Amino acid sequence: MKRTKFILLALVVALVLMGAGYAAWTQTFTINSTVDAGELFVKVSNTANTLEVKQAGNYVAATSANSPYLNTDINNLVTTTTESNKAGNDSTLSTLTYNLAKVYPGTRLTSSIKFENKGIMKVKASYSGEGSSITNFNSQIWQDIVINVNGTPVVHGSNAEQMEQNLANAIVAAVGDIETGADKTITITQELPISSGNATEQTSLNWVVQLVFEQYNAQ
Amino acid sequence: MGKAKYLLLISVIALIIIGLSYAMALQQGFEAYGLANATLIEFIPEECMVTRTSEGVMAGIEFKKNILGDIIDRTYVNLSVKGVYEGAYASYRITSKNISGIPLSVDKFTMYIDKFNRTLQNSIYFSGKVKIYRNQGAYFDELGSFNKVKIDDLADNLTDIMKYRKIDVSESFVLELKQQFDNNGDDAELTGGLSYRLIPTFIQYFPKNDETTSAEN
Repeated sequence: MKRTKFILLALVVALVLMGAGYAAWTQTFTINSTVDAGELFVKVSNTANTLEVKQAGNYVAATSANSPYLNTDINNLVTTTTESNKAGNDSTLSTLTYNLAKVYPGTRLTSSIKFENKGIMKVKASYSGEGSSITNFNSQIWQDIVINVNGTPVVHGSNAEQMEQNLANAIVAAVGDIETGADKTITITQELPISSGNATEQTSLNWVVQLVFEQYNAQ
Repeated sequence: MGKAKYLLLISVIALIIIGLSYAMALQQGFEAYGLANATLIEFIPEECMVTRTSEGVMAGIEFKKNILGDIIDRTYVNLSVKGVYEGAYASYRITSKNISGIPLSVDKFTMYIDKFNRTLQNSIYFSGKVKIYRNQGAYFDELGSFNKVKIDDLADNLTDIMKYRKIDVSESFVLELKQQFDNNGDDAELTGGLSYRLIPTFIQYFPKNDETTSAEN
């Protein structure tokens, strides 16, 4: 009888296992997911600088024979610092500084600056007051100089801090938001009108605006 | 013949008959599909989509394709999202269909996280719903939902929702999945990434003893 019970038990176990074995199938079926916070990288480059002087009512290249800037290397008017991206295979200007020394009335400097979004997310520009500055604001040159960003005059401030903010806001507004893979080029002109008096001769103009790029997170 | 031998003989005959009947049922079920190991469930690419994302986030759904751009594998889908930050999210709708000749069910979901790409593991949460569309999509049953579930708990949550639930022949089930990232209120950038695989195991559906079935009707 014990043997009979054992056989019956073995039979029941076998039936149960067989039923379970028939019920389960295997098939590859995969939901895969990749999430990437990504890198934010905006490449800034100074693509062109043009120095002109007004002669006979028209602006001409400063390197022409009648210009006091005949032997001036325009690129020496600009100083920059750079930093690399995370991969180390590209770099960007991190600051762009214009030093206009010995500015003559009727002088105009036009600079083109390109911002390329090489990261994987949309970015927006803002400025850092900590890294920005304007020197010798009390000099007459700051009262006479005309600065345009994309053809729009920058409002003069009543003091250095306000002038710096107006200038930075104008640049930030011109750059705005940049989509992934897109770029924007802005043009900054700095012009000392020919009507400017003797007080501005042999003077220097120095300003620095530091830009910060952040991920565009409109909520 | 002794009683034990008699019982053994009866048992063997019974097993053979049971085995034969199973084989016959199997063949009927797979008549249109040839082999028993054919694909049972597959994704419906045209009904898999990104439904919503937060600003600045790029999300997509990708299938394996050949050089001509034709989908070559409907049992694999990749949900991608790039540029995430604190508070960001991406929502997907993933539709699959029972293309076998037998009713199916999910035995369990298993989560595999890539150990070389998991820096965002603790920042991600999941919310969503599971629905089964019946009667050729005429209506759906919502099987369950989940809200702000961590990645380590997602598989168990989905298993709880889908286990023992019937996916009949030609029925579709839809997973509406939202991947969201923790927001500490400062909208800070996140760094790094995350890669994971969520794999369901399908079994043949058998009604419970207390259920009446209309499978044969």
